[in-house]
Amino acid sequence: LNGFFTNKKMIVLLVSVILFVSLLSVSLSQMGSIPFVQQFTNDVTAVMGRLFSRPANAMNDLFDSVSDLQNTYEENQRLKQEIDRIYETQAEVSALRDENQRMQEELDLQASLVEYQTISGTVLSRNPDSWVDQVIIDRGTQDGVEIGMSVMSGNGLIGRITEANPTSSKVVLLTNLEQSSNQVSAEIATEEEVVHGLVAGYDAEENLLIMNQITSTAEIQEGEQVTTSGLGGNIPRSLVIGTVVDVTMDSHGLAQQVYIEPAADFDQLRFVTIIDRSAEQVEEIESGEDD
Amino acid sequence: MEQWKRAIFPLVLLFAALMFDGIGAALLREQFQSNMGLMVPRLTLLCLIILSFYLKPSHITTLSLVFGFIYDSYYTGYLGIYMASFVFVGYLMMQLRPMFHANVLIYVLLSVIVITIVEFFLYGVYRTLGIAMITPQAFIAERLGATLLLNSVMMLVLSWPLDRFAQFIVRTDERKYRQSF
Repeated sequence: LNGFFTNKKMIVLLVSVILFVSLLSVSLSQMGSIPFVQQFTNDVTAVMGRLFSRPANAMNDLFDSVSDLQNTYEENQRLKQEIDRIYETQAEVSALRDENQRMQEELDLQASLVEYQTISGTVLSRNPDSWVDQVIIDRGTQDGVEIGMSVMSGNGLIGRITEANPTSSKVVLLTNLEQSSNQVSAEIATEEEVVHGLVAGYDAEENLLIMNQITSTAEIQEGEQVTTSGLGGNIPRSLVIGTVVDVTMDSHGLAQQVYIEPAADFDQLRFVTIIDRSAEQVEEIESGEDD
Repeated sequence: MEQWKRAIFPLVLLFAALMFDGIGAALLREQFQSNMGLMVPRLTLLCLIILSFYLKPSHITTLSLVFGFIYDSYYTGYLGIYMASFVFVGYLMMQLRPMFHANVLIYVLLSVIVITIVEFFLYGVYRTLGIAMITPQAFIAERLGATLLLNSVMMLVLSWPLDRFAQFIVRTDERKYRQSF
């Protein structure tokens, strides 16, 4: 036994294994509120990251603009058709908004599930190993970012903030939904009713999100839009998640399961919009008190 | 001047490699998600392998600890995982380097071995923590092969310039492990 403990290599190995395990368990137990040293490291790295990502993004833009030029004509035709439809919807939306506001005044509602402010940011880098699929963005607590805010890119929800440093933060993507804290409560507005469920899975091969816990009686059609329901804490209502591509029963045969094609492209994340719901609510409550 | 060069340039090289790993993963994600599976760029490890043929053991251990910490803190948020694997890679390279003369072939072979070990270690830890959900078979089929291929090609292309850079960093009389390239 004496020989065992005088063996220097053995002791070094044991000490490093103990250090590794304790460091890992400490950092696991305090996800979210990270110590100053780590915040400092992340921010300094993010500042340097900006130096690297700016030229890289510029290069990417150049390639993008060349390929954009090639299919400008087709896109133009398609957009013209879309604009006609948008005029119709806009008229409808303004009528509905007006009506909604008058009804809210009548009911004396102060905080709505729909209202929010946005903070826009740029993606600096992405976790290379993608076991924890997350991106680092260039906005932090100084810009008003807080842990738990939801993040959009392009047209769709992509994830939520899990770590906020002063000038940078981390966004965990919807593609690792297996971890239960990432699940998003969602709804599908069918013609007859609003169907509620939970987006709680991701099919990596088909690149589809999976929504479950849907009552088996609901009739859901392919092509219907899935949005957030605003029932789960920090996420406001009516953020687009994607469109329904397939409806099946789950493995127990008790509830329906819906496969969703995400509206955001998880492979091409460049610019993000952070949804800040808290600020709007505070303002409204304050202005309500003034009245 | 020589002292200064040896202290600063490895830091700059490893930091640039770390940044390119993340930016590559963000911008070229579509290309990395190939038919063979998900490719993970491991430029930091490749630079560490080449540097460990030229720098002192204590210097390599310090560098791998520091960059392991940055990698953990900046990319994943779980401290210790990359620190442990980088330090282990440094130690392994210290044991291996008297046996080999650095050249392209040795660099590529070592990178294959090191990346295989590191990927298995990472998969094991993440699987234990409940973050990686895929089975070992799926891991080997969908990740390991593609990652090894990408990094071998990167090593093949980058070993010559990186080796020249490492030679530039250390003084002539310290290049004892290097033979003809």
